Amino acid sequence: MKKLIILKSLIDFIWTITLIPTIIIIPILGVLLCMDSEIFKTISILPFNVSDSIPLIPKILIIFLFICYLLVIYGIYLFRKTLRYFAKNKPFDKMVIKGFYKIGCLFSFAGIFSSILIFIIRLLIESKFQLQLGISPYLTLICLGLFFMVLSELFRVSKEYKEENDLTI
Amino acid sequence: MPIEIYLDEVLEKRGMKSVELAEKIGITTANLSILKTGKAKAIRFSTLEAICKALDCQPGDIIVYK
Repeated sequence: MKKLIILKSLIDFIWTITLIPTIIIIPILGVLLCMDSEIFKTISILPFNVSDSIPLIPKILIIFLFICYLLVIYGIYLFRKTLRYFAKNKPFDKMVIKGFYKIGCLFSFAGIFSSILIFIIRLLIESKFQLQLGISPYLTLICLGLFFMVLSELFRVSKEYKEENDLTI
Repeated sequence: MPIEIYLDEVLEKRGMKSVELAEKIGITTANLSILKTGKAKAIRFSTLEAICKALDCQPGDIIVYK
């Protein structure tokens, strides 16, 4: 149980440090998106150089990247919520299985979507055809998402076994 | 489920109550209720043996395949 407490504390910490910048970023992003896209040339939050010919694309890309970021944050929130069931000694609750599956879907989707987005960004804006074959954060995110989906399936099977065991007289 | 439990009928014939049977065979009344209502997924040989001993009957008198 000590490990669970440590994990819960770490997740709480990660949740807090990701939530604070998100709350700050949302209004800033809103203001930036209403402004002229020329402003993006002066800020360095994007991992690529913004070309003069496509002014609308940086705005759209920022929105999509931010959506991916929000999906990951929501996944962390769900994981935090799921850990509470473990703390209450209810590991086979329906919400745990659903939670793990949701987290898996969110992480996988965010991983796939952001990797495609970065690929398009490089292709359209930097005019580079670049494929990363090594370990990338997107690939790690996809693997993590699939891991959570497998974990959800395992918990579902375990729940069935537990029910069968409980109903054996 | 095609397996039916006739524990209530056997209990009535023997004039025994569920609580009494549960005490005799060493299981909780809640578990005995699960067995009687047909919600049980499995039954241990030891439990079946104890029921048959307590009610002086055969397993076929309690469990019937239809």
